[in-house]
Amino acid sequence: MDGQGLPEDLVSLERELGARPHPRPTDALRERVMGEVRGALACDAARTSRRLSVWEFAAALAAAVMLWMNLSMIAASDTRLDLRASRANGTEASVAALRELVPGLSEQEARREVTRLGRGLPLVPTPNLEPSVTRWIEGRTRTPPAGSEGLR
Amino acid sequence: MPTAGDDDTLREGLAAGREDAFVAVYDRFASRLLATAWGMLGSRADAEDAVQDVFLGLVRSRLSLGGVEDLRAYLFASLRHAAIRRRRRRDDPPPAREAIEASSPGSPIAAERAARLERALASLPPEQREVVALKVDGGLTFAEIAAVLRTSPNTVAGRYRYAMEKMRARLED
Repeated sequence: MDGQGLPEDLVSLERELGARPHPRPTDALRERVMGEVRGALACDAARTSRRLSVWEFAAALAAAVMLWMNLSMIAASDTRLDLRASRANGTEASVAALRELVPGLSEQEARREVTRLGRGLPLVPTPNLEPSVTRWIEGRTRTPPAGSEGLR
Repeated sequence: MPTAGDDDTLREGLAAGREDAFVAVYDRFASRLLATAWGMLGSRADAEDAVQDVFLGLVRSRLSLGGVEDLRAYLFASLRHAAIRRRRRRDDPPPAREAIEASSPGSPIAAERAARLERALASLPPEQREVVALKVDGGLTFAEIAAVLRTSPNTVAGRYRYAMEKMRARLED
């Protein structure tokens, strides 16, 4: 379709328009445009690297938080095991200390008191019985009298 | 004659932000772009600014160039938008068109004829002037102009014909 259908005088006008002097890009324009392009590219690169460093920081922070959480969980589980062990040792020591303070206290009774103390419960007052009476009570507790099964 | 493969390489370079790709695009298209911008705007300073706008736009939109099929049409469409923005920005009415002096001094009659041609071109409405500039100064075909203006080649051909007739009438006055 280009140039087709135009009368001869318009084709000649078109030729005349095409042949008129046109501005040519100067070296100054090339330098100016390329300078602007270079500046815009550098600006973009700086913005991209800033955006990257923000992401890098965020990723490093997330990794640090996850590491801290992981270590905390490991430490917490280890600590709980240690506490159990120390609590068990502490009970034995407390029982021994209590029996030292109250020589007449049976081991079973001392353990019961330590357990109550450990749970924050008040101590149960126990009568300070003669050793012979205590032995008698313990004997009755351990060997129930014949025929008492029916009472249970 | 640049091939489609050259365009692909250029597009890749532009998308990667390689300066040499921008230089290559400038060296290949700047002359036509400047002539077309001058045809549209009638002022060398405005035309140079419009060309600069095209290249700055190219930097900004380089990542979306993958979807551009015809780099040449894309550049001229970008130039047209830059010219429209410049035209809106500058004083109204527009300044008189500048006739470019030929590198070799011609006769006073030729200079007078060139000035008359510029005045006739300036008398056209912008939508006709841009078609003439894209065709005569940019060297685009009607199909390429249609792609730039997002219209049909027939519409472009009709607009061009009206423009040329109007110019002829103006020159005969």
